[in-house]
Amino acid sequence: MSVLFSLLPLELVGLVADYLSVHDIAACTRVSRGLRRVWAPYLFRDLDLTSESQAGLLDLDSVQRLFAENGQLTRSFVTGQGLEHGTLLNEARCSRLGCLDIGFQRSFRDSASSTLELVRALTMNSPFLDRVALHGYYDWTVTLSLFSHCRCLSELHLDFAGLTIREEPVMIDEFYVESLSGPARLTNVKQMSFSGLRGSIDRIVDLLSVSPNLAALTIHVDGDWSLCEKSRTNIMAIVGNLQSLTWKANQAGEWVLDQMLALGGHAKKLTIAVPNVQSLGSLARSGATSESITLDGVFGFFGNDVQSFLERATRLREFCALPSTLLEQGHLRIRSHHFHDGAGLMDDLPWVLDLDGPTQVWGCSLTLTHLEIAVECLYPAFDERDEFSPPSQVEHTVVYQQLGLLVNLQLLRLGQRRAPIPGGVGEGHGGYQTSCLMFSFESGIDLLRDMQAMRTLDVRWTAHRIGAPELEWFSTHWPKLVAVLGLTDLPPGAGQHCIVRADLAADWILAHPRGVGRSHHTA
Amino acid sequence: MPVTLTSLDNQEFKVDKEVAERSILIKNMIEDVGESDAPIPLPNVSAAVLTKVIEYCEHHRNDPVQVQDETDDPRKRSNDIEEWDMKFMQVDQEMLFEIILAANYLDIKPLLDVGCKTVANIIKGKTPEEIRKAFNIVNDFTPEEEAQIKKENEWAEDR
Repeated sequence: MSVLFSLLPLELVGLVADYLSVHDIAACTRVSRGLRRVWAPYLFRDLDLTSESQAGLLDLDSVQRLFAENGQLTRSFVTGQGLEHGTLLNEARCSRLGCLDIGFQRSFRDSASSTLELVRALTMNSPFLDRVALHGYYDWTVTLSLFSHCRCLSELHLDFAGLTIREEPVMIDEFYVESLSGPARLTNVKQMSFSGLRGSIDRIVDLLSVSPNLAALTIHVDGDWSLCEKSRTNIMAIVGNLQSLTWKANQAGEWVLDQMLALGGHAKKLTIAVPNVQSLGSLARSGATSESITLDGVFGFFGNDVQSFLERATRLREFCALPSTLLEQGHLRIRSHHFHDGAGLMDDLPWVLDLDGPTQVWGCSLTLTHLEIAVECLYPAFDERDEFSPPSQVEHTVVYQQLGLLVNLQLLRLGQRRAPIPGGVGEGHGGYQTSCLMFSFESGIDLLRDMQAMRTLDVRWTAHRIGAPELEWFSTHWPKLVAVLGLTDLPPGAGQHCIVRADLAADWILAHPRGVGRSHHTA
Repeated sequence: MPVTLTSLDNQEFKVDKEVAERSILIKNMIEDVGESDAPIPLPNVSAAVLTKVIEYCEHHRNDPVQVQDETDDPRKRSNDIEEWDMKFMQVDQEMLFEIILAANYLDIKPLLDVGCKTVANIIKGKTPEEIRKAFNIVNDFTPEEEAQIKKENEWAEDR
């Protein structure tokens, strides 16, 4: 038997190894000498040292030789941030390496010669490198050396966290410029991401400029940053050709953002995460053709801009305007027109979508399948109403009419400002609750009856809960409904009204443990 | 139209063309040769193994053509073997390895996958000593070598 097992052709051992964990493969290498010879290379095939405990046990001295002998099948080499195991690659001939994802510790990075040696060894021996991610890395000489040798490179991720690009040694500049003007064009690179950027990011733009087939770009700026005139012109030309653009910054950089949005609005997928921007109007004016837009943490989207954007975005399928953290602020609210004479102070808040007059048909009303948005129904000043009275039908009707037009919507995730509006409606009385969209027949929920494609309704981040009759209504009127999320968990500071409804929903779920039809309901 | 297959030990098997063509090797042979009554020689497969392989192909004759799954995760799952396949693979180890070799030679990807999954499932979760028992393998390491390997493997084994 042992003969047969040992005689299994190498390529078949590889097929079996595909189903085994590193742990199991390690056990195989301890069975016998014969098996050790066959199985040891598979120990390193997908080397992932991101788990700290695992990496801590790796005794470099003893593994170095083993890896040098058995690295020929390694196809991915992944270490966590700040680990020094990159030195393993020095000796190894990883001719099949496709994925390199490696973190550099400061001590390691500072010894420039060892870094260079490593990357040179790699690029010479690994012609099939396809995906490269370098963390805590800034040496452009090395980066460029990679590029000029790795013709297959299609994904490049550079993470500069903790560094400023200005730190780089000046002497590299000449080489750098020379390389870029040379044959080292990144013709196969489709995806690039840069994070931890700060200071001048002109170098990044230079890289983009020699990547004619770039389709997806992520730029994450972390701190002050700048772009020279030439780079500004260049980056705009690049952004205009992208399929997917993600731009994150904790400082706005108004000019670039404005331009970026105007052009990025033509990328199929656009993600913008920039706080405290006063206007995203350029997105609206761009006649955006994006299919997917995510605004994460974007704070200032003027009501008119939202309205005109949604009216024009004829290809929009996904629109996400909830912050990924879903904390304190709702970032885009649909507000009905009856509010203005109320507390007044709301008028200067910039991110409200005013729905004045008759319902406008949004350009994306038939294409939208995915909507994440904070919806708010404000009604006149608090003192004109009883705290727990149902909201006026008029304000809700406006919102429900608008939502009800989105007949192809499959996912509706609603968010709502959690904290009471300072000095605002009902402050000190759980005011945020009273301004949240209510899910009741009185507020016109049956205006959503044409949303026949709806699969998931997510109300986890709204202040109000859905009662039993409405739940019943959803289940019977939305034939494709799979889940309603957030029926019984209570938002902080939940009022009596909310608690009662959550209890009713809990009873309803008990009575219909598998939902109705295809629908399932979860807490 | 039936096709005739000849095993290593010169036994002839008549099977439907669509059953035989589960094997990409045979499919290509038939395409290359064209319509012909001549038996197809399979000099690498014994009659006993060929009987099993044909049984598998008969059962799966109507399966859709497998699409290469381009998943990002190179590690695949081995706990999704169909019940019939599981029973089919309940053979002695010699036969199991013969089937895998035959599936590889005949280019029957789904059968090869099931075979490899079955072997992987035998190995999974076992200690080296248990693997030795399972496959009847003699430990030929010296105690010093064993200690050295244990040290080298530490990172991979402690999970």
